[in-house]
Amino acid sequence: MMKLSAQRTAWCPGILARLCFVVCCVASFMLTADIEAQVVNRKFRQADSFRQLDESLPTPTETRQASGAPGPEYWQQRADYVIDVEIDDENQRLIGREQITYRNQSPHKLKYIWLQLDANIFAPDSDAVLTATAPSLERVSTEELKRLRARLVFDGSMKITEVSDSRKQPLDHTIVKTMMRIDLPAPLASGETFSFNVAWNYAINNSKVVRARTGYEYFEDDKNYLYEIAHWFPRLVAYTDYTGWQHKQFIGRGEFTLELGEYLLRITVPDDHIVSASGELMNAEQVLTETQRKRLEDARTAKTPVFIVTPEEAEENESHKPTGKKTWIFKADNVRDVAFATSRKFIWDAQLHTVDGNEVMAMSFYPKEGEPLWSRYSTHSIIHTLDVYSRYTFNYPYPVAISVNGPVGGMEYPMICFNGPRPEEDKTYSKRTKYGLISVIIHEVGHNYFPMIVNSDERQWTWMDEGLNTFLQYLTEQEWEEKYPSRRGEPQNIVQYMRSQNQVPVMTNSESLLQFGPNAYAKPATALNILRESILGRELFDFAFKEYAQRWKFKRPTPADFFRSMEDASGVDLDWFWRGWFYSTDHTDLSIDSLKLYTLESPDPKVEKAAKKKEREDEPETLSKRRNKSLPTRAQSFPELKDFYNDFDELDVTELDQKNYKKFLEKLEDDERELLDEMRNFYVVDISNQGGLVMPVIFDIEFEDGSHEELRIPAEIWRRNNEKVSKLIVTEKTIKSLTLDPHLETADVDLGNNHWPPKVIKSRFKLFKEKESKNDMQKARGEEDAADDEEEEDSQ
Amino acid sequence: MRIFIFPTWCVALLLVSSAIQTSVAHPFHASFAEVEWNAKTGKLEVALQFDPDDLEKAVRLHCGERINIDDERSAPLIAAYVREHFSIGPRRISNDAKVKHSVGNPAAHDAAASDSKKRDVAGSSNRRSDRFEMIGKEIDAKFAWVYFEIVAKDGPEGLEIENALLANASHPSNTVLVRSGKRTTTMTFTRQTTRRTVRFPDAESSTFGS
Ligand SMILES: [Zn+2]
Repeated sequence: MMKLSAQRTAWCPGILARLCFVVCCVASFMLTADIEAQVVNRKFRQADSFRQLDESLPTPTETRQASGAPGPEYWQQRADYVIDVEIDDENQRLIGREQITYRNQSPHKLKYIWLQLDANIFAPDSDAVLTATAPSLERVSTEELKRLRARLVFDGSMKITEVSDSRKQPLDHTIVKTMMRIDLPAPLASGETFSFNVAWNYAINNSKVVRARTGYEYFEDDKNYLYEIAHWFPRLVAYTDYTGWQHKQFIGRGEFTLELGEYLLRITVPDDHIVSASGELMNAEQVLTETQRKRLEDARTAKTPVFIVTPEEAEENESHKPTGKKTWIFKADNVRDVAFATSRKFIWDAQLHTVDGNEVMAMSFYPKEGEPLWSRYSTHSIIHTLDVYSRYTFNYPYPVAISVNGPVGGMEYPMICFNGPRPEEDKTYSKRTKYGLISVIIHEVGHNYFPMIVNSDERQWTWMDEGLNTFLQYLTEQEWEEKYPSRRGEPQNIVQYMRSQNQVPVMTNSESLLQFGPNAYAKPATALNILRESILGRELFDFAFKEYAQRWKFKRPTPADFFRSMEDASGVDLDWFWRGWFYSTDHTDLSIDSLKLYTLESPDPKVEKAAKKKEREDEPETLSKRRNKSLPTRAQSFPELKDFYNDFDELDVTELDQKNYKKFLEKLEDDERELLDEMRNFYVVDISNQGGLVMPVIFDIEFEDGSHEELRIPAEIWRRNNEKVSKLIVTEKTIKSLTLDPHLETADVDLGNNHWPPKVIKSRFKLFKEKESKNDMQKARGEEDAADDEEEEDSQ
Repeated sequence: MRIFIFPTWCVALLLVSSAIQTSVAHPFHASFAEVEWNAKTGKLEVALQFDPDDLEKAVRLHCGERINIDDERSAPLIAAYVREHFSIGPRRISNDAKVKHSVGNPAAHDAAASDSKKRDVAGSSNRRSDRFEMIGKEIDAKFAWVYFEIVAKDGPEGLEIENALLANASHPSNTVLVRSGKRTTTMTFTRQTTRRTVRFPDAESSTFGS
């Protein structure tokens, strides 16, 4: 619908508001978004987009302050472990024994403590199995059936063989699915320590048939195993100020929440295995050859990764049989967990990297199946991640950073992570595999920062580590090389998810998330990118984000601590932003509804009346008037019928007009006279909010003289009316076109209403089809041309 | 080859598998389809977006070959995979207690491989695959797009979408946006729900503000 109307009124001295009026109305769109996700004010009948968040956030305390920082009374528990573990390579079993020293640093007295037995998720009767809802049974692949059959006979749950105190006296304990409660002989007072032992064993899952974050891979060709071992020992449940024991059952998605502590790890494996683990190797003399130790020393000064075990040596190892066992000893401080990998197939490369004075040995372990991709990119990717992430947060504090290739697609643990991508069997690899590997290593090494060091509660909130980490992953990818094909981070990449219906807010418990990945990874990552680029700006955002990371390094933040820290450090009230992006399912869809032009009439009668005459002349002649032109009239026959009025034109400038104008000018102040001379255009653009999310209004204004101007209006323009606003644009030039969100920075889901004059935005399908058909036409034209050439010879 | 499965047994099996499958790097396996009805041609125009790794894995599993989706020769295999797992047509009668199911991997069922009619025994006799026409594909390191048309003379309203894409991935989420004139609706398909009927929301009741 296009409407055009024009209006002119006489200049009235002193009142600028009397303007002439041209409306160019685009269309009034059907408003379709849903406001249920927001708090709706029934009287005003709008969502309270700018309602302060206080009512949703916990009351600040001296533990967690209103500023978002940990307070003077902040506390967290501590658990130190000494673990002896053996991998039985004959039977693919893990046998472990641990001594845990638990320090009650809370102000509370504890009667019992809880441990997590995550491997119990592999019990046939686990909650994960029982609570899964019926899948569609329309299609079952044979691959799937194979996997299902194998899973039916597999029990990988933990067999607990001992729970005893420091004097080996048995302790009462109760297993509740993936949790175990140990009843203490006497309550543990604040400040006290309790030491106890647990022994256990379990069958390790074959990752081919039971896919998980841990497992073994069997290589048919050389008959060897590769183990990636995680959530493998009974671990202390976090006891916190905000939720007490965080013993929500492990169902599969909500990952881990753990206590920081010190680990001594003794890993016994066949003596021809190479072991890689969270922590620093303490007995290199016993487990490495002299050559290997020498190479490790070389890696300390190398400019590129150095092989500690070369590809040739690793392949040689594959045909070996072990002659006995070896125990590798690792020590890790200030970590919340430990994981390890072991195989005789490992190639190993390393390079020392210094991150702001802290020496880190970056290392990669991979079987020959990972080559040539892994030696080329893995260790480089680790080092690049440490550099970029440390710049945005804090210096990487650990002595090693490790990436392992094995059966797990991608999973993070302190200092070590498992990454899946491999080249094809013929050693070639696609561009996608290359970037897939670099991206996953950046992502998983990046998890050292969130949630390994900034120890957020993964069992409750997936976004607090995945969202923040995916955001930094995007920044890191973009610093790897120009035009890096990042899949997440750019606002336009999340548009499809944002406009989908089956969403829950980001602030939803991990297990209840719908569209898990887009919700917990892509949306918060994109939101932070938008906050950085379009709302706070890089300088303010980076300062606040770093402040949050440093405040909560080795501590346990909640969402409120993040929201408050970002506001506290940036000095910007972002409640509306958290409310929209984290607490609602609204999306961005702003629309230009109309553009009105008001021009100032000239008070000079010579100018103004001439303009009006011109306007009158420009009016279209009606059909009847045109046909009547040739009619003889009575006045023509009797000229005496004409008088003063027949010659008088009301748009002629009279003497009275001139006199009034002179008088008017005399009354004006100097600045008022100046203003009149400038003769500006006053444009009013009406914008409506179709998606519900309040966002900055960003315009590209194109003028008739070909110049452009960018107008960036903060989201606060919506603070009194979040559905419709009008914005005044004052300019001496004439606007030719307006474009909303010209740089695609707000994830606007419908670009069809972002233009004035309106523009038809073609669907992805139509654009593709046009492109294709053009190619076909070109092909056809090519044939025609050939035919024409032949004819041309005849005709000329 | 046909496999006869008692639904209860099958349910138990699948529950186990879906519960413990997790992979974290590519934590989600999602496809997004934009379906727009072209009243002039009487066809639904579909642009379907995948993570290219997901598409490659699915097509490999479907055809039983280690194909590379960047390779032009894989185009018919991609088309066959999409045709088999994404369809729009008249609603079928829902399956009751015991129904014969064919196995999704056509390599496993001889001559029936390309014959999706057999799967339709319980419902409409219209062969949905006949309404499908592949238009093309675009694949880069970030996204894979598959373009196709589906005949729908009277528009999409009331038709049933069957979307069982990425069924072998953990937690697949397939979102479809359907547009017919000014009306739009979105729906999501998972392992649990692979069929939905297109219904446009009442414009009045879903107005943002008033
Ligand atoms: Zn992650």
